[in-house]
Amino acid sequence: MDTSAHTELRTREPRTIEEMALQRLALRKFAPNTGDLLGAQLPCGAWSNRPVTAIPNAYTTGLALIALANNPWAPEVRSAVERGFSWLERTRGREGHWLWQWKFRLFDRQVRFDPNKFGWPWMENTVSWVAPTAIALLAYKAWNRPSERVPSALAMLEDRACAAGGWNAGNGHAFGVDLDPHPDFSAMALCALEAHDAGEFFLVERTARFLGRRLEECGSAYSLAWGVLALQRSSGRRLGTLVESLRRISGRNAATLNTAALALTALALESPAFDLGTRA
Amino acid sequence: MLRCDSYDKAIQVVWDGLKLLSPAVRGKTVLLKPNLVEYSSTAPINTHPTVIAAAVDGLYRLGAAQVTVGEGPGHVRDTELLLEECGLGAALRDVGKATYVDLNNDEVHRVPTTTSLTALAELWLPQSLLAADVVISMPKIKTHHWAGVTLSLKNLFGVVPGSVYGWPKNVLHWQGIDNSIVELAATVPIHYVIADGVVAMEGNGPLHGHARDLGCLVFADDPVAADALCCGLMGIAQESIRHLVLGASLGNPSPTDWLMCGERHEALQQRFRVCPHI
Repeated sequence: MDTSAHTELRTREPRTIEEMALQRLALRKFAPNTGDLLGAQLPCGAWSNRPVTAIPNAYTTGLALIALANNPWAPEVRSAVERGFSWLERTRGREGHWLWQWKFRLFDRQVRFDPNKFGWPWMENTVSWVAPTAIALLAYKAWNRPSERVPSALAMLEDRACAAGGWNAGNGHAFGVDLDPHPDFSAMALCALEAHDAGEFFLVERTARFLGRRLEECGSAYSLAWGVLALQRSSGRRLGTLVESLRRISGRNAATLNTAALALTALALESPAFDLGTRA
Repeated sequence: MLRCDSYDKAIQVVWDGLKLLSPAVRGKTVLLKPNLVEYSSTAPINTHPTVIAAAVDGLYRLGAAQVTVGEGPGHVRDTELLLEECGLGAALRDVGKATYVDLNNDEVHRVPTTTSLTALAELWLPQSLLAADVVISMPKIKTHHWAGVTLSLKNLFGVVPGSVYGWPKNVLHWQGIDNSIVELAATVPIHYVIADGVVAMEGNGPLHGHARDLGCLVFADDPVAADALCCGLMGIAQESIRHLVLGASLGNPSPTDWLMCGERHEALQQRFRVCPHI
């Protein structure tokens, strides 16, 4: 389906690899291309979100791998994908190291989480967070790539969920308080769990309910688009309303949306909405 | 420091404060850096939109060439949603002349760090911050469960771009929060401070503390002095705040050396509860 979001997206020059990967995904049927993504890969195999910084980023690497899974095959793609996954395999949240597990278990206990369950950090030498873990998991699924990292990362997402369902950037409980979920992180984590047929039933249900309720009056295309991408599998109850809101907002404001929001909108308004855990 | 017991009065009080402060903004580009963390309908987490909008308007009245409001929330990627829910989007539209820039997604440039407090030899910082002639930090006066307090210096965490460092900017935590605060403050000059203490926060800040009517706005041309003064207003000894001790040389922490105008701080001083984990 060619929407106003697709039309506007063709005019955009991506400024980050996140924007580039999402744009390539959204335009895969109209202007397939992987050359710029392949050219931006770092020697270590990762992608930096801001190429000028050359700082490897697990979230961006996951998105680039998903985009490569859905664009035309070229011989050089195989090698880029191998190097990308090789970087993901050896990059882990710091809590995955025994020394830090010990510290978190004995001393640093204000933030409640199980350091045995770890995923991916945004950047090296930091701990695991929801968004890079969820996107990396979707990349593994998109390429049907088995890995010992996947079960631990899925367990980490379940461990970090908020009590009321959904996720925020990374912790459900800190300093004696249950923390609130955010729509985009909730949607990313839900996409990842469902793509891997994981996730405890009540957690999925609570998250779907949270997203439906939270996004009902939402005026942001970015959060709405993530919500539609996540709810397509788990819940048809409010999906139609959210799709209509997104269509209305993007039709009115496509020119003012940032490129990532625009691309997510285009993916969410496909029929059916794009599944981030699949490969073309 | 000026008394302000309600946000209904903030527009006038901000203007009065700016006239007292007389910031050198004529013909200059100004970046206002408020504290915008996430939306809560119950807790006073963010710098109040009325105060920010009044500062924008007042700075234009003082001859600023351009005033930009910029923030890079540490836990929220959807800035559009946050702006609308916390009311800042509407407040800035009412003022009419303000532009907002999401510092998480701005263009970035490499800046060498200037201390050896962290292992970071460089920081990638937003173009809008580096291009501004004048940077004004606009914190909410709050306690903080890791740093003790979050004021004009800690507020600088929000200039570090998430598009480079992620959400949250966890690399700063791993370098030590206090060390990172001072590293940032030594690297990014804060020219002025406007601190929102009309309704402040005590206890488990920055997100889950309780509202405390402090009833004042603080205006300063020295971030260390401003933060030390705000500590005094909260009844917290500035010597107990590690980043204020570490960063003392970045300003003037000694009250005897301050030229104070407006309200006497003893008249407004309270005793805030701090997070029991500190």
